[in-house]
Amino acid sequence: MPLILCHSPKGGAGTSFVAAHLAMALAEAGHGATAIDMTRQDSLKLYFGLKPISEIPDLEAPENQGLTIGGVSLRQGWRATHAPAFANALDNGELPFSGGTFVVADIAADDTMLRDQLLPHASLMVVPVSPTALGLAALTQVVPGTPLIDLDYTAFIINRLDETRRFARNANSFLRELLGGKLIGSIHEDESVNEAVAMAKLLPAHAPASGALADIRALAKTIAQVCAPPQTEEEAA
Amino acid sequence: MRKDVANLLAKLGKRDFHYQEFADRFSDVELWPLFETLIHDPRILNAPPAEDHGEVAITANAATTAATPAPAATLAAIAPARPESEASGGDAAPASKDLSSLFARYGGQNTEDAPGDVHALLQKLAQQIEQGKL
Ligand SMILES: Nc1ncnc2c1ncn2[C@@H]1O[C@H](COP(=O)(O)OP(=O)(O)OP(=O)(O)O)[C@@H](O)[C@H]1O
Ligand SMILES: [Mg+2]
Repeated sequence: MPLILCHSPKGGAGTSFVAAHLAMALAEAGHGATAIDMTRQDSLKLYFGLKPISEIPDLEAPENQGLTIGGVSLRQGWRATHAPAFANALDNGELPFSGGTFVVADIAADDTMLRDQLLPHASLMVVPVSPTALGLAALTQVVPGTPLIDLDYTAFIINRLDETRRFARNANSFLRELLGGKLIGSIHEDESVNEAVAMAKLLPAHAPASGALADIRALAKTIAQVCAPPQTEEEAA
Repeated sequence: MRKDVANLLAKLGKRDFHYQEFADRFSDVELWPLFETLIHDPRILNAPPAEDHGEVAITANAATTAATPAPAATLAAIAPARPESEASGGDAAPASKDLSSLFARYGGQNTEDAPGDVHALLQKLAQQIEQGKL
């Protein structure tokens, strides 16, 4: 039951987009996947073709009241993860997520408290980075106390890469040098991400040829292999 | 070929294009002052990487995956198995490497300009600052 935290030191880097589509791509690849929105903003659901008015089941709602879209079980976890009982449960070594599935958590940029609470229980932290000056500058803030390149269990993803932009191109190369294997790939800037939400449709349905979609699918494969036992994959050959 | 490119070409009915992906050469990267600032920031790199800097490959937190029968795979182990055609846009980073060899990897013919390591990169930055280019 690998817990994957999606968190970026910079708001707007595409953390919710990455969390939603990572979960969907894992489900597509045949893994069980749960996506938990741990933000107050409640926008993860928008990437699942839902409208702002739609409500998704609370993390603690019974299983028979669950909601599965795109193969992903969707939960709103802001309330539950910010209740005192949650921190207590974690302190007692209980992780209140169960089942043999990937659990992908969307954590707001400023919510470093929750990030720090969950980090010891996570298999991997996925950090989306926008290839902008402010996106790079925010890399100094990823986990205070540990130099960026010494972070364990941390995978960086460049999101919204537009190679026609000079700084973005340079930032991409710079980060590849700096982070090496910890930078597991990039996701291209793709307006169909925005359009799919505006249409209240899933990205794979709205734009099956989306470049960003192809990118996140490749990244999900890498992440699944890093986090899960290889025998769950059919591609043993 | 990237999937979206292949799809676009198929849509356009164009099958006679030559397609090439250009790998970035690190020596072509413009050295923005921000890059230098970041390299010098102890929150990014504690100390200039030594020759024996360890592998920079990601692993999952084994403690949390202990219930799974197989050890957590590392990128180093899986990356070579990934077919080239599946890497989207050639963006997947190389499996694992030594920081001191990072820059050398891009050496190629243009070794004069290609920084050999972080020290060389810093030197190049310093030169450009001296020459008033930055
Ligand atoms: N690859 C992409 N191409 C184009 N637009 C994108 C891409 N990824 C994200 N976006 C857009 O960028 C904006 C921010 O995305 P998102 O809300 O997922 O980021 P976030 O980091 O979760 O933000 P917040 O800090 O507010 O939670 C949205 O409008 C989203 O549609
Ligand atoms: Mg968000």
